[in-house]
Amino acid sequence: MRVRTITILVFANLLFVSSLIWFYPSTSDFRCDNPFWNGLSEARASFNILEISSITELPEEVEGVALLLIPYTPIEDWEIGLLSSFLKRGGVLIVMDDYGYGGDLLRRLGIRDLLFTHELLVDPLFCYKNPKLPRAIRLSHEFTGVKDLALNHASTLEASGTVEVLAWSSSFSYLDQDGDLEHDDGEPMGGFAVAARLRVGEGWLIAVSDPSILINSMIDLYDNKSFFERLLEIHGVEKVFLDVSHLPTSRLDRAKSWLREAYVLASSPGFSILIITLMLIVSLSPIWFEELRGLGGAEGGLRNR
Amino acid sequence: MEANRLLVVLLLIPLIGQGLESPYIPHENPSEVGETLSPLWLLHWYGYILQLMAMENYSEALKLLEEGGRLYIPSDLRYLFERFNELLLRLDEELNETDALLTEAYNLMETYRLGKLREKLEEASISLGRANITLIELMEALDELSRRIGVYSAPPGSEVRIYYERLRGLIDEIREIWRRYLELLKEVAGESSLLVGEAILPEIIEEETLPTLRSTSLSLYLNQTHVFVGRFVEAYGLLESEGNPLPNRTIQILLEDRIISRSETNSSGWFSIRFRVPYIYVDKLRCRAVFIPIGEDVGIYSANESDVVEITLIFYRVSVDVSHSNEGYPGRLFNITGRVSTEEGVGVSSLDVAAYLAGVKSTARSGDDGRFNLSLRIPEDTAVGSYILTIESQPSDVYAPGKYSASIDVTRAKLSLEVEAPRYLILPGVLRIEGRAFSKLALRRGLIHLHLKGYENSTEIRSDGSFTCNLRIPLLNIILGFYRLEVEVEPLEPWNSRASWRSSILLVNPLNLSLTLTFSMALIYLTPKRLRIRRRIGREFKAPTGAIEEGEGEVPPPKMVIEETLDPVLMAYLKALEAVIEATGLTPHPSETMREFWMRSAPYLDARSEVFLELTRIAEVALYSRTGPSEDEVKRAVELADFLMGEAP
Repeated sequence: MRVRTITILVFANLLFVSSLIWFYPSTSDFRCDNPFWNGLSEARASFNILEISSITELPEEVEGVALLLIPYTPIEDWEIGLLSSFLKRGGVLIVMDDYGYGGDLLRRLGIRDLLFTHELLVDPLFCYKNPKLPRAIRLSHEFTGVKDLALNHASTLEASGTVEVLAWSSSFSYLDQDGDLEHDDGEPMGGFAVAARLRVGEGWLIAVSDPSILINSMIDLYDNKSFFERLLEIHGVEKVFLDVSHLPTSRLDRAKSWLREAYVLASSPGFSILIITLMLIVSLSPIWFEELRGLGGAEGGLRNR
Repeated sequence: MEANRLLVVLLLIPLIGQGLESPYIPHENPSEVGETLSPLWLLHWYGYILQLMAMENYSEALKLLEEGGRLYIPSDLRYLFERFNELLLRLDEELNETDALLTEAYNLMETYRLGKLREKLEEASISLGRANITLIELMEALDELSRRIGVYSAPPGSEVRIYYERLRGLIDEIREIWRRYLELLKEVAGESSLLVGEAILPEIIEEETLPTLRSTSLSLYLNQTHVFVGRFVEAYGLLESEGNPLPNRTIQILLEDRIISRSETNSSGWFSIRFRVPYIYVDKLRCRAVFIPIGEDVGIYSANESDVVEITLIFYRVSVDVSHSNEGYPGRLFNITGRVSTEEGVGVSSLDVAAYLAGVKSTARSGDDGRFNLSLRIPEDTAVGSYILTIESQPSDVYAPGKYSASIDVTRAKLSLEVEAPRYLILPGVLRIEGRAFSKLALRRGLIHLHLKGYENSTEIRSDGSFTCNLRIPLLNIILGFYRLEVEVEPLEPWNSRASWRSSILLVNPLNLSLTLTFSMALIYLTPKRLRIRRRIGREFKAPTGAIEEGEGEVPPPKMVIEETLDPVLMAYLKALEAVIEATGLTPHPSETMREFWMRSAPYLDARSEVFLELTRIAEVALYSRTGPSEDEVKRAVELADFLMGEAP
């Protein structure tokens, strides 16, 4: 009796915790199902962004397709190959990075004219509330109607050669290399490129030195939404995919991922049959036991007689 | 107990918190960020602007000031900041205006256009006066702003104080510029007073410095005041000084403010000039003659200008009437038909007409009745949106230019789709769809993309717009369900838009479905039946058990109790069953009913099978019937059982 109660309690708890994990929205940064300040739920709704868990999930036909990559984890060699092919065939790769592996990615793609500096951009005048939330105030003529781009702990780009800069910070911005939020002698002053593009094969490589411009709390600030909208428009993008395999993962997300894997496994025919069989065994076992006992009793009675 | 629960809750909170915790990403929630302003940078910013103003680069200073509206200023300082910016902007404009007016006045003085010179000098004087007031207000505003951003609380020698002092120094430099402008104003006013012979700005220029000049008079007459554009007009007049003609003096003829001709006076002081009225299609032009003393006349004769004579210009106004579609399509021709005519409706032939739309120009020449046809091919890469169509007729002799403009929507034609798709698909299988795409414009080339549950295939549209597309779907990990089927058309012509068609399709995996159905059947049919039998037997057991317990006072072995207390009919059946088992060697299966067991044992019982059948029937009545067996049937059952038991050996 006690064992049965404990078993029921354990299963009930497992079910409850699983439901909680399944239904509680993600809290991780840059996740499309995260409705909180650091998520991309609004961007997903506005630009029909589709999450993919691997670059291999990109469609074969890449015309009008953009891949949004926020590389907070290293990119594998085989991924570099796929990305290179994606670009050469005409895809649009949007690398949004501040302090991650964007620079490493560009280097391994063989791009020399465009670099991520990975240094904090600070603007004490053209900012939103705080110098660490600087603004890009000059944009390429193609971005008609877009005046300001609000950034959040952004980095900058170094562009040369054929790279076309799309957005610059103000001339009052500077790179806070020692992190003291003061401009010291030798710290470079702006304007700095914060968005740029480069033709690679048939496609476009677009680099933005801050992935936070699209998060829920930033997308409606100044012209961030219009900027991204126009960025997609001028590159003929119709479908946007977000690669989540290089995003930072929280424990909740890991648990969600395990649950999803379990769900997929349980949905496979073999496991479906196994589960149904187990359920039938569990639900019918009392009857079988009772029947066996009953038959044993009846036969015994007849024999006694 | 309560304390334990509390402990569990307290332990759970950090665990849940840890679960929700995300890895560190360098960004923060902007709605929770505090507002900060760096006084140093703000002073730095104003320093730039004032520096530009001190260098008299007013246009750059203005640009920077206009950008100032985009600075982030905390809400409590915003008013003060805006006021300071407004004063700076005003000062920049006033100094810029003074500079321009003084330059203009100087140029007017150089060309001896003294009528306007006075006006400009007065304007410069007013502008300079305003700039003086603004400078005073600006100093006051700077003090207040500095107090609010904490400049005065900064220690002497600190960067903020240094920048503040620099700012004050720059304002002093601007004050010096103001003084220089004042000197310049006085200088120009003084020199021009020498030319005019009277004080232009009496409040500034002292009278005793002025020499006395001989006055002049200048008249102007035209042979006609109503004239077609492009035709010749003769102008003549007389230049005198105190009743004496002034011969061999240069007279300039000005139309509006533009010199169009020059002439010299003859020995009688008369001048005569023939000039062509320019092709300017306005109603009136003001004509005047101007005498400016040069050479030896300077300082002797005053400059003068004649009264203004107005020339009424005659020309035909041209109207452009066109008909065209309100929509255009990328890559397609946009046709315009139209007519150029005078206000009276008379068509004008041989006029050059040009049309502009989406960066494309097309030209034509009007025919005999003024009619014209234009065709513009809208570029294929034109983005959809609203564009302005402008049609202009070029001016020609007495025909003024005509203009027409309208808003044109450059759009893409909507594609319609007719799709025939199956309602269901048994997996694995090939989904075949057929259909037709059509547009109000030509649809010759395009691709069809078919998507279903992550699988996709593409095919080309035939020349008549029809298409057939197959998609192989393997055995999926599903049982059955409705899934979204999407057909997308991607036209290759730029004037057609993309279109899509969506529907639901039932996908069935027969393997999974049959397995599921088999198990479900087992669950649905077998379990309740067995439960009913067990419950019925269980009910039969209950009542007698109590009676035995009360009557005998001791608990017999349970199996015996069950046997003894069974319904007499069932008891009889069990006894007979035992006999039948012994006789035939057959035993009833757990899933076998009494009737089924009879059917199986009947071939072995020969004549007794009829007896066992009758007993089975009575037992079924006892077991399943709501009313139960009659007394006769009970007796008959016992008899039949006894018969079978007796016969058994």
